[in-house]
Amino acid sequence: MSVVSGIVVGLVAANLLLLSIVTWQRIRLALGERRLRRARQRLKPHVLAFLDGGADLPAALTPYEQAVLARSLDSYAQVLRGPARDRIARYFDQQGTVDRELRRLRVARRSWRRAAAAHRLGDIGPPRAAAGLIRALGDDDRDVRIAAVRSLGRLRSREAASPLVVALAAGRVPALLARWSLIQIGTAALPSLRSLRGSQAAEERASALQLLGLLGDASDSGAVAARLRDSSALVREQAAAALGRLGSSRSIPGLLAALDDRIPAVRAAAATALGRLRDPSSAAPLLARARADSFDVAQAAARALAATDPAAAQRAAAGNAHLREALDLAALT
Amino acid sequence: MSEPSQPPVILVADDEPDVLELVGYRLSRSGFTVVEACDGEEALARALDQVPDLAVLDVMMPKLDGYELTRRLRSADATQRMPVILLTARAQESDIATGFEAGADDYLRKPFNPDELVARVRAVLGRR
Repeated sequence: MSVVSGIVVGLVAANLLLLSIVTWQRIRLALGERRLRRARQRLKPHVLAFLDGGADLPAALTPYEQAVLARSLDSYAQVLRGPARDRIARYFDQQGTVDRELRRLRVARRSWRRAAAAHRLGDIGPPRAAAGLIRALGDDDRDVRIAAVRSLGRLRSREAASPLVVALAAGRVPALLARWSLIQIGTAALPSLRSLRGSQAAEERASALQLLGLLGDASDSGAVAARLRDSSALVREQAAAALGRLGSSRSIPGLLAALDDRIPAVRAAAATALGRLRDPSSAAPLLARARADSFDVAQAAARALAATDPAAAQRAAAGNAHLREALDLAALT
Repeated sequence: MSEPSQPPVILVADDEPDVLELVGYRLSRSGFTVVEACDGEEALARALDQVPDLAVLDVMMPKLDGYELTRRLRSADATQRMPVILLTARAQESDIATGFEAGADDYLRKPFNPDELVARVRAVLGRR
């Protein structure tokens, strides 16, 4: 046999071998998918009855069926809340899955494993998983901390409120996500937020006030108004913004005084808050700020005046660009 | 639309098979007749063909999303008065407003409580 013939035979053999491998792989994948589909179909009635509270899950399952069942419950855990989600959490707790994930969150060397554990605990975890997730807010890896914040919101963990505000104020977690998580916790977070109003760290006081504005009620306005005299301008600014959201007319005198704050951001926040409250007594001070203050404050005051007393804003608009803009905006909305 | 003596017919549309099956199962167990669809176009075809008493629609569906599907149901003679509940993972105020502007009667956020879904279905049917 010539060298060329030998090469051709070799190439053909290699091609045939490759084809056989690819074909075998495809057959194996197809068989695997069929096996998975059949197992899911077999388990589906049990899973649906279990989620509906009507039945226990079958006890005698093969390891493969147990794995399929866990995947199915994992998937449901992400879209459910209420009693059905609690049943899933109890199942995984009884199976030891929660303890395994908590251990992985604590000791796994690779950060993506810790982040995955934190993420999964938010979906399948019972309330007791919160302690491990709160600890993970101090993890060195940002992705782990982010997953922990998200999961604490999913668990609506009341005890997570203070640690979340502290992590938020320290800039250790994304602000938007931390706020989302605290809003998920809802009014259960209020006792922690109220106690953090007097925190030593200004950033913590400011974050707590901001969240009180979103979650609190008019009964918070007195204590929040007291923070308009805080030594930190950041805290005074957030107090003013929160008072605008809380909507109590008792906070108007404090907000009018804050229009004279030496920091422009505080004056602007006070003007915006007064615009939300729409009390006629604030029209004259707002007009004064719209005419004479620095750009941001004048703009905020003009918008607040257009919302509070459109007629006064109209009369004063001739010589004031901010007021004209505010009235145009008011006409659009 | 079902006869007064028949159980109400509910159209459920979701591209996630797990959610579709669970919602269908839960509504069936609560005494409703369920028609299922796994995307927006199929849901529209089934709605126009069978004229259910109410539709539970996922917002994020392929081919036709829940908002557009609601608008089309509102513009068709047969389904313009059919109540629609949107099931949505998008729960910003603007998303909810978009749903109501499209003509939805109610919305439920994912993750959702199946018991709450059944209660809302009953409440919306009771209003009509």
